[in-house]
Amino acid sequence: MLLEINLITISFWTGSGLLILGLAALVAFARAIQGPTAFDRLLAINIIGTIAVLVVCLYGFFDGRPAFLDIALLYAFINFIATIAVLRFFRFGTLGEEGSAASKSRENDDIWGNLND
Amino acid sequence: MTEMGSSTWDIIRFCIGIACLGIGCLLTLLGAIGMLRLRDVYQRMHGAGIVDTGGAGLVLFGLLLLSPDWQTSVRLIMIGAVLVFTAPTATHAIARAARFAGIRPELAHEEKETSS
Amino acid sequence: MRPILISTLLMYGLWLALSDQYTPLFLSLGAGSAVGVSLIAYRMGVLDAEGLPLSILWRLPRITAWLVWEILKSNIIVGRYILNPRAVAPVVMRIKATQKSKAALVTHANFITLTPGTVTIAVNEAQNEILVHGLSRAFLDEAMMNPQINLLEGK
Repeated sequence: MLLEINLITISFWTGSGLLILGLAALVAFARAIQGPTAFDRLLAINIIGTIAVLVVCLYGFFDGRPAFLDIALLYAFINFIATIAVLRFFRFGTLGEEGSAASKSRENDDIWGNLND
Repeated sequence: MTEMGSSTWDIIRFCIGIACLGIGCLLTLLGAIGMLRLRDVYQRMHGAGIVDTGGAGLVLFGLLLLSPDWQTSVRLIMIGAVLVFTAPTATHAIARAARFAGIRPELAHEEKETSS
Repeated sequence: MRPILISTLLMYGLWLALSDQYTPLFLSLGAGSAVGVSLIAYRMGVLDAEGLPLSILWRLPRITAWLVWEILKSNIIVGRYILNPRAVAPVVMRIKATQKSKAALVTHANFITLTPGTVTIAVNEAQNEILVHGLSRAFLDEAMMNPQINLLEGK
């Protein structure tokens, strides 16, 4: 019955998918609240963003309006930029250019240096 | 959305699409559970990796098989390409920042570094 | 001149694919923006071998099948580890890369992160080394991608 091809069955299957994805987003959100470090939270938020892209895609099919995919495309880009921007903000305390060149070389030394202990 | 029709090819496409969709959603859930259960940031990144590759990839592939016209397919492929190029970069940026902030990975063996 | 032309064609192709309007007005607006974006990118100096690594992009489809298979395999293994987190034995290791160009090295690092179970923590351009965190030692053996990435460089 559910393998007949029409709008109702597509809505049924994508709707079930939406429920599972919503549950996944909730689980990831628990990690975002729990922490413990800022990077855990950022990773969780990044994952919630990816899940949101999938949710928007699925919702387009659920509703029979695939035009939603444009929004998903934009969200995929913004999700990436947001992650990078927040990381920059953590490290430099600003989104501007200040001190990026100097700290860049130092940072490379640190990453390779402190592995040997 | 236009109807897909009901030739044999359409039915096969539909069934495989639904199967990919289901497996993808469950993999996404598994990855999210991994975020919760694994022990430190670096391990949780592998859970994130499942969501970004297996979960997103299979869901988008399933939708691609269900897509009614070529414009929808092009958009789905674009979203997949964007995720493939940005997701690892974002994960790597977080890993690098965590390393720079001095967070150490929990390691199994004490001989931490081996070169290959 | 050639990079501008190629970038314009790519941009316009993308515009055509994503636009559902095919009237003369929209077609000319799209062409105008494609040329404009390419000129701006050229002036910014990002249309070089690193910004538009055509040789690598062109060869990418050849290893796609291998990469997809690799990702599916690792997905299953990592999934098993998630269901049984006590078995996780994380390792950190330096992997020697054999790529010549920076774009190929970055692709290598990106592919390592893309396969679940291994994450690139840092890349050392000077020594061509990639620092990799793996969920267990077995993943690091799978992370040896040098032959496949070298295919991208045309060796």
